Amino acid sequence: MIVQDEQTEGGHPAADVRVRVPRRRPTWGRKVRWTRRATQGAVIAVVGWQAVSHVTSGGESAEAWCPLGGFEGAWTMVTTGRTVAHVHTSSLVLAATVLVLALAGKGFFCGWLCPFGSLQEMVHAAGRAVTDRVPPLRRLRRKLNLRAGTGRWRRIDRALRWGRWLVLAWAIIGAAVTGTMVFRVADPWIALLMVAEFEVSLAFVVLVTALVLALFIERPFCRYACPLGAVQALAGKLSPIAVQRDASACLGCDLCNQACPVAIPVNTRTRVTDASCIGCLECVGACPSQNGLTVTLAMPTSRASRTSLPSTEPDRQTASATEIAK
Amino acid sequence: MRSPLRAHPRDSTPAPAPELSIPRGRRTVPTQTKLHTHRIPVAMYVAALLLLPTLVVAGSMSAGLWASAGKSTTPQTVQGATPSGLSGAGPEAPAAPADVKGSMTVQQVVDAFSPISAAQILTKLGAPLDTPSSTQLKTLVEKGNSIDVPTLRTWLEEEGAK
Repeated sequence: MIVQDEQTEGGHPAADVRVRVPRRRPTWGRKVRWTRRATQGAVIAVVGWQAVSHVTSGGESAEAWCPLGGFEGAWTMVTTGRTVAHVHTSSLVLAATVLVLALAGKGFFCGWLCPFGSLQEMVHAAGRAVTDRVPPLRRLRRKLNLRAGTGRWRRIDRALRWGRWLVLAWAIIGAAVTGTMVFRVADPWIALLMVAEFEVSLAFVVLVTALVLALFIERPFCRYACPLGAVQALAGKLSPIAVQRDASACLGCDLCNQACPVAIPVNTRTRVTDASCIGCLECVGACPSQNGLTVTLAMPTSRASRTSLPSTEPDRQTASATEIAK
Repeated sequence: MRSPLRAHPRDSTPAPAPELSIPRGRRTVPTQTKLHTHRIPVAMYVAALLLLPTLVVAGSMSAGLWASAGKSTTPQTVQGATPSGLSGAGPEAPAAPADVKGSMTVQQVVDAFSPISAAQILTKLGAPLDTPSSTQLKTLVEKGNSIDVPTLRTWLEEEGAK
């Protein structure tokens, strides 16, 4: 419940407005975070077990569980009734599943289920543990993560984010034209699955580069090069479900921005519909206000709704994380 | 000046207030959204989205659409190869010697390259002649210690050229 202490008539500049908003239980955010980590751990365990059993006893390849192969082979399947090499019907089923997930929860697959995304998060956590102890590295990490970055870094980040659309075009069009998985030569996930058969290939170079960058940047491959993320971004635009920010309950503490692994400025959005959103719900878990960030379903009946309570402008919010912690 | 004998923060911090205060000095603006939205409980949302892929995969498996080995290419060049489409029952017959894989069975190779008999393949792989033809090539390669799959492909090409 929101309590207004004072309000100026007409809702115009009011220096004496004070709004109280209910606090969310601190354990709530931890529950969300640990549920996600447990899910990511379970997926990594299953895929890892499959990869090891493939190498040791010739079981089915973990590649068969890659939904990207389904998207790459879809055109060939539709036009010729055949699948391209390395693609199985399991990939097609998983591709359809990812599409359905994207329609329901945008990048939920990336944030909760993708093992390569989880691996990058783990590497980044390890990198953060090290760089936090070395001031120059800590400054570099903060700059590259664009949370405290300058305009130049932000511009570079935005320009690089076009990369995944280019990679998607290359992967899909290339597979349709040649009938082979052209992206496979540069796919870091394939290199990781075949790491036992050590071979310096383009995919291996991409894998190493992604993991080294992950020490400083959260999910670099997801941000700049993942074609599967691009597919989900397209489908996610049709999703009626999104994280919604209630400006009247937002404290402007910036904790949501700090929690976002793909550097979305959440506290400037009404609904987080960004193409790069991975649906991890870290922002929701980090929000100390009970109604500040929620998951909402947009109904087909479009209707402008307006809260009658005073709110705050993002650019003038001044509450700090220290204040919230008090 | 900080005291060196400060109490541990956990001891000195009071319990958090049930409400948070938005600082003073803000300009009031309405919250606008063009959409009519309904709040979804996060736990329900996460549970539903985790259940969704499980159901889709289980459904496709029960419908026979799930195959995570072999491939479903329709052979177009080699006479005698049997298309199996999306049966999900395993790998399909090879279209050419180069398509032969360890996951394929002896019978599939025999079907695809009809002049060649199962006995010839079993002999080549160093396996007993009473081995079931539903056995995968890689199983025979591992047990036989004679030739590997690439060598078998080369042999099939040579036999086909004769």
